[in-house]
Amino acid sequence: MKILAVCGLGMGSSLILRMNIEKILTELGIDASVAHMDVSSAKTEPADLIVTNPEFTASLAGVSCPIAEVSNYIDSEEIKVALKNSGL
Amino acid sequence: MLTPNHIYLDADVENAEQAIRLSGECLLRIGAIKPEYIDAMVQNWSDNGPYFVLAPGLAMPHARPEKGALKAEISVVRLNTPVVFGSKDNDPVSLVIGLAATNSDQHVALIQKVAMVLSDEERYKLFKNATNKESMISIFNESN
Repeated sequence: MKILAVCGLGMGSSLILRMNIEKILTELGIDASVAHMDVSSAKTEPADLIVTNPEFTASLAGVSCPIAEVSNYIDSEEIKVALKNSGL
Repeated sequence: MLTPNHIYLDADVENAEQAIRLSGECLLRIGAIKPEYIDAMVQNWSDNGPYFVLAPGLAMPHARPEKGALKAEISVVRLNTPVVFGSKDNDPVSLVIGLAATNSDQHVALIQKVAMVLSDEERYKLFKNATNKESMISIFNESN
């Protein structure tokens, strides 16, 4: 399973998000790889799930995988709920 | 690692752009960026919106490494009066962490450190409410 953490530049915010997603996946015992990147790269990158800020949901409209929205990148509970609601 | 030069407490700004620029000025002061990186930080906000407002009250403005980042560093600006960045869920912002983003292992290590401090609810609360720079520095720099 491949998860993308996505933000505007793929440098800062998405990396923090990626680290928190990885921490939660470990807690939940889920085996998945997580990559972080900017929104335009994410449009063409094959993935099973995209996790991103609501700001970018519209620009990712064409992608074939589910999109989980997270507003607070440092709130493990919010990220966990978003991951679970996405069917993980 | 943070030093007093990385930090600006009790800053008075009128809007988000001034807040972003001030966090950039701190990065410039510590030699982490070229001056043009500051404009790129503001440009990222105009182009991509306030997505870098990571949590309620917390923004982490930055730009691409090739826009003039010299080394992986953060600055910390705490505002006297919170300002609006346009983030539906996380406005207004009172703590601004300016990020000089580089393509380096140091960048990843720095973000790891930042994520660790911010994601620890107790530690983050102590960090953002620290009474002075020294206290903020020791909360951030302590290893666990």
